[in-house]
Amino acid sequence: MADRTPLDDVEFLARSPHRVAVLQTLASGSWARPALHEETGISQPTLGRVLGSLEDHSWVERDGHEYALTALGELVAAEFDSLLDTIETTHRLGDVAGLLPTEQMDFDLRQLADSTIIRPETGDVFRHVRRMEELLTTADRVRIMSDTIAPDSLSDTRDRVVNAENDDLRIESVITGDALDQALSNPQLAAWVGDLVASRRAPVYRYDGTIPLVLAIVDDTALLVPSDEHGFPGALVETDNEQVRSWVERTIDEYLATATELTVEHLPD
Amino acid sequence: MISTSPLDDVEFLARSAHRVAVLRTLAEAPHSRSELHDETGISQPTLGRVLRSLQDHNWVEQDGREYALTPFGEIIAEEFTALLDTVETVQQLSHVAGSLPTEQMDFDIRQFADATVTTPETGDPFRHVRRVEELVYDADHLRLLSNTIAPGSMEEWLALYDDFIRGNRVVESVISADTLDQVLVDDGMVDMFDGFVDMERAQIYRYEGSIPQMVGVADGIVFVVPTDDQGLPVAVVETSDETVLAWAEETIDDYLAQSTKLTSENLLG
Repeated sequence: MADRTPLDDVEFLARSPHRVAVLQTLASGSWARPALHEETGISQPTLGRVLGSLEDHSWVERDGHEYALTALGELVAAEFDSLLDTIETTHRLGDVAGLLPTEQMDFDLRQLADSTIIRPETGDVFRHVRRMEELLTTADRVRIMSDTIAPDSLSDTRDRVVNAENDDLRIESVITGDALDQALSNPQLAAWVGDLVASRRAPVYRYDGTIPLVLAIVDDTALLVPSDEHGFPGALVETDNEQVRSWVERTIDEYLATATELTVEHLPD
Repeated sequence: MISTSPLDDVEFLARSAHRVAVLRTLAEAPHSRSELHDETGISQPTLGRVLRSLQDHNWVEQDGREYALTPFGEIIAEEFTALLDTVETVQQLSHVAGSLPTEQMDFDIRQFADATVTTPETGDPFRHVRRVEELVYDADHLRLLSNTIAPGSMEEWLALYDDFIRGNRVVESVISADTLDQVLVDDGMVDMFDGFVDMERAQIYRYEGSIPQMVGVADGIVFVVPTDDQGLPVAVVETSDETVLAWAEETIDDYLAQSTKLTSENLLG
């Protein structure tokens, strides 16, 4: 066999979806040729060529009628799949990645592989906002860091806190000074904020500064809400990933540490 | 952003060594176009096309004169490099897989996924032998199971011996009886071994039987030297994988338990 570079072998795989399909199918166990044909839909003559070339690379071996990956073939298949998964994640994240403060995140974008991404859609531009409110108003443990106060969401939260029969309910909010000042200038909103503060279940902290994006923890799920260039929430990223969750918790902790807890004295009469 | 399947993206990269070179160069640091040209040797017009196509994939971005990877570009460069590294190891291991005693090992060849394999090269047929010598003579702490003694003139041996006396390296070697008997015919060698076995730091054991291949642990790195049908070394495979390390230590222990420690008294059998 002539000397092939590693890139030659990657290209050999990448330029043929058939080779990739056979390699991926064999990763699940050994297969006879007719079964492999049925599973992949690859014609018999092509399958013969594909298997032959994979055998030449020592990635596949044949034992009687059964084809299986060699240990080396398993290494290649696993690493190739990992690359495909990462690229798929980048496709799914798309332009949302550009809105995330990646230089401040101590996890990389691969951690968002299993996240759910909800974007505004034509005809339903508030889809992601609605989903966020739904999560915020049904979770027992909420931590949120935000630079806006949505009146509907505040009203729902106030009702939950005031009527709570669940002792575990706890809602912690870190809100930017600007957003808080704006809300407190409205007597109705100010009254609701007052109810939250008085409940002791829902402390509100004032953070005088700007935040990179809206973050929340709702029970065991982390929410990231990057804004677009107009400051409008551009998407909702929802994930249970441990690293992402831990980063969100720590980031909220950091902002909370320099924030002031709101008391009744801070509220307008 | 071009809409393609993940496999299309892999193919896009894999079919152009230039794209891969630019991606990997930018993975080290941002570069201006002329720096990229100097570093990669890719012609200016080609470089322009390569950079544009990488920008179209949202893997590279331009900031003034500097080109840098986007967060997507970073993770894709990392995964693609990992795939190339794995394929390279697989290529090297496939050359030696037949000569590695995998049936004696209680793990499979996948444990060698992160291994470094040094093989002879056209123009440098002793590359692997030199690497073994480096491992053996440079280690502060060496355990060795050997069926051969490196060729060398008496002067070279004395220089090594002198070096050992002056240093504080610790060596524990189990050597096959056949090999010892071949070496200990020369008076100079006998004197030298006598000097060795006198030192606490050098424990040499005689194993009455055959040792299928050289296995060593040099400062926590395991190396295995598979041989061909004639018993000639074909490569050296190095790894710090914990499973392989445990296997190597255990194997050396097993042989050592059945060996006789050399002393001045029993040196000549």
